[in-house]
Amino acid sequence: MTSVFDMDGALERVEGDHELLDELARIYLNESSELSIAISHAMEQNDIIAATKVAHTIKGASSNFCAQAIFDAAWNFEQLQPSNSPEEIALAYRTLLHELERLSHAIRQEFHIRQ
Amino acid sequence: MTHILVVDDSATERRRVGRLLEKGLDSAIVSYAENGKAALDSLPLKLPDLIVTDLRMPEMDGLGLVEKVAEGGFGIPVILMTSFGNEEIAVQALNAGAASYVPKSALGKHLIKTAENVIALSQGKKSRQRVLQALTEVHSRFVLENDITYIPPLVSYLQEQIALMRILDESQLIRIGIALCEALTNAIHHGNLELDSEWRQNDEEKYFRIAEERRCVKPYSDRRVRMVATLSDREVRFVIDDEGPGFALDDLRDPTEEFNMDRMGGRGLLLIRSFMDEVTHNVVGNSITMIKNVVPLD
Repeated sequence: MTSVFDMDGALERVEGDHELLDELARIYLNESSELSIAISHAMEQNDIIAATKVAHTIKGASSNFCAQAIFDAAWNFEQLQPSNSPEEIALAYRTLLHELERLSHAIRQEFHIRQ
Repeated sequence: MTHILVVDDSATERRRVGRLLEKGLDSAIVSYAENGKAALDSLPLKLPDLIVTDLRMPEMDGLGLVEKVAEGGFGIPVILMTSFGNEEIAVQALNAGAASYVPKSALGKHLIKTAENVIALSQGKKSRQRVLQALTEVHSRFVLENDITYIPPLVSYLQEQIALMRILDESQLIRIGIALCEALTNAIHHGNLELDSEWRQNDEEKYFRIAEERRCVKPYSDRRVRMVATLSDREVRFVIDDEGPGFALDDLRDPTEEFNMDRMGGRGLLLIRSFMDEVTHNVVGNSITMIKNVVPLD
């Protein structure tokens, strides 16, 4: 699980405050679920601009866990324009959702949070 | 107690920033808003001492929030949390009035120190304002050359002093400013430079050309305008003296008469008399005293 996010880095960001990191983990799980719904909704509406804004929020929220893979996926998605090909957009979307799910799963495991 | 409003569309980020502030600052109370609009809507309920905001948010972003806070005259300092790729909007927000910024990646290291500095500066400003409200009287003396470009900054300075003492409201400040501009212009042009307002009525270009010439020629160039400004919680008084030969008040056209209303001559005096409560001249006609009575503001 340590490959999905960097526990030491995450602790450093909260100045070693385990209690806060535990609280952030729980907040993040709720938030990531909402953000997943929000980006899916934007994609259903074919609203790429709205979807990139959600990706930006995913990137910010996930950065608290120093999770490089989801950071990169969100960053790539943020750079999308409506002019990108449907294949490029679909790939970036699938990658982002996959990384979002991977990070959420890793956080549940690491912080012993039931689904 | 220091009340800080944290604005970010990510709940996780909001909480991390809020906790950093709660732990790092003495007696900080943190409240939260999920975007600029929600932050703005919350201001009438409780004005925070500081706003710490993200830049990219839905509804209203950080730049919009900074602009609205500045426009609203809330006097609340705003610290921006910047991230890679937001540099341009951060610079715009700083130009629009944000007090400082901290990169999101370095919040743990720099947010508290930055917040402490900004709060200290802001509270220092508020303390100064409180002291100035306790000030009951200020006397200032000015000696001006015959250059009308001195007038706008001087008037602006006096308006600022009156505003800081909170003795007159905004509309009265504007009217006082106009009266001062007119009186000082009269003292320079008609007093020291002895320009006839009829010349301006007939040929404005010639009027200003003669003014420029006389500024450099004796005896006009040796003359000065002296002003004593007394700002108090009872009245605002300006005494403006020029060193010209003076004029007979009876010779002035009455600008309110139908024929004279569209003439420039006498217009200044009409405005001065309209905007001030009391206007008197000395016998020679080279000194004007203008008084505005102060009615306590709520």
